[in-house]
Amino acid sequence: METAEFHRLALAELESVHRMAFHLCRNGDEAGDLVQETFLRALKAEPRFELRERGIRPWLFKILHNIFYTKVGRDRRSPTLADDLRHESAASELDNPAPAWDLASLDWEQVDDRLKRAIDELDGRYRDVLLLWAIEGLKYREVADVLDVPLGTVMSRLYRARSILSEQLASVAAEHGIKVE
Amino acid sequence: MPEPMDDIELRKYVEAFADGELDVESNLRVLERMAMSPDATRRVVHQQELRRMVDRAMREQTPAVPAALRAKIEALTRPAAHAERAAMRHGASPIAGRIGRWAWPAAAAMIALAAVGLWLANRPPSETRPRIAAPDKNNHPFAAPVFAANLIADDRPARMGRKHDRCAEQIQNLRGIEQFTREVEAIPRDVENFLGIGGSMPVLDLSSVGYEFAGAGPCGLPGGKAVHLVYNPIDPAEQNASVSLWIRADAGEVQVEEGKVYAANPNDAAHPILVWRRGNVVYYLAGQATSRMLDAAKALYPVK
Repeated sequence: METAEFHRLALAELESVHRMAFHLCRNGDEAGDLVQETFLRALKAEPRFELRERGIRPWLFKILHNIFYTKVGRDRRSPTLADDLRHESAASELDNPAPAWDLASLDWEQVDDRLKRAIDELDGRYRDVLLLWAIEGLKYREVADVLDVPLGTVMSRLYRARSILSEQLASVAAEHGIKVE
Repeated sequence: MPEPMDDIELRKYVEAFADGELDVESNLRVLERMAMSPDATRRVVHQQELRRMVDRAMREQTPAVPAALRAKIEALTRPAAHAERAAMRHGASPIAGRIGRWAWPAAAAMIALAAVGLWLANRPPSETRPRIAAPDKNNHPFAAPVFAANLIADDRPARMGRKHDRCAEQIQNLRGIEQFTREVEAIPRDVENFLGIGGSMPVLDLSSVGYEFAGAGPCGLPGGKAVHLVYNPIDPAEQNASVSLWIRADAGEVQVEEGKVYAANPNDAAHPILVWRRGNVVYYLAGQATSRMLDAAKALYPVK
């Protein structure tokens, strides 16, 4: 691929990279630093980039996540076996189905606030998967590749994240008199 | 014949169906269940709506890319930005970018001027330091390593592996790193001075095979007085793929023949070590994958 074309593709993803950086750092200045570092490394690694079906975005996200998790430490990136067992145990609590209802009939502003809070309070591993999937539109396999986890783990974490959000929003639905099942 | 789905499995499949992630056969299975269960249909709608809500709520929460940041990133892609990029790569924090719009160009220009000045003042005669090009894989004496079981004494290969891991994970674990330059062009001179040897060392640059120099420090491994250099992969997607190079002066006690590369521990898949000699200097390269290390060894042993 020509360098100019590579630059064009990378710059087209600036918004997405910045958005993901902002949600990871939760701080504008730190997000800016992370974006710069990501582009520096991406430009340096240009000769090794191979354009695939989904474009440059998953590759940039992988760089971004590697930098971010290198900075926050390996502990957060690599949960211990005990952590995984604890989360597996928590996941088993979801044997009861999360509620489902007509979300479109809710008060959006109120829902948005509650939803933002609920997403912010999610465990980091659920949040990462949710954001890559919901906002950036990555496929399960791409999320697995970005986060360096198995496909089944992505599905489980996403299932867990959505169930938690649905539970959290159930109270909003109930306040609106919407039957929650 | 596929197994019937239980309720939990069905819920996961319904989510994957809603996300468009299922293959044709699984899609048909879920559609079949949806035809029998209004609840499954409702869950598909719910999941799709939830995704839109998450997208909407989080997008609204994200500020636009600041104009200064956008300008900085765009500037990095211009040819004139190479010096700035190089300056930022060599240890400077992007935080400094917030100091002012012209701080980086000014700093880059000063660094570039200083670097040129230092280089002009200190550069070695070009004929004494072989430059490294991409190794010629078809015409290089290091075609395949020769196994030599007792090349490195006792438990030192394992200790070298552990030290490599520690320093690759965090370069500050390399004790005495401040004694050596972080500039790859200048590191041979520092190594020669430290070991007290003549100026025939090649440029220790592995960028042609995908590594960048991270730092160097004095080391007691693999024995005697040596320098330990660490290189990290340029491609950030290559996690845990750093290599370590130990260089020691040798008066003939290490039994390696010039023009050959030796494998000191081929059974240790985690940390193979390649060894070779050039004149009175012996090189030890440790990493993860022998094939990539062999490329690095060839790059460090330029053929005349």
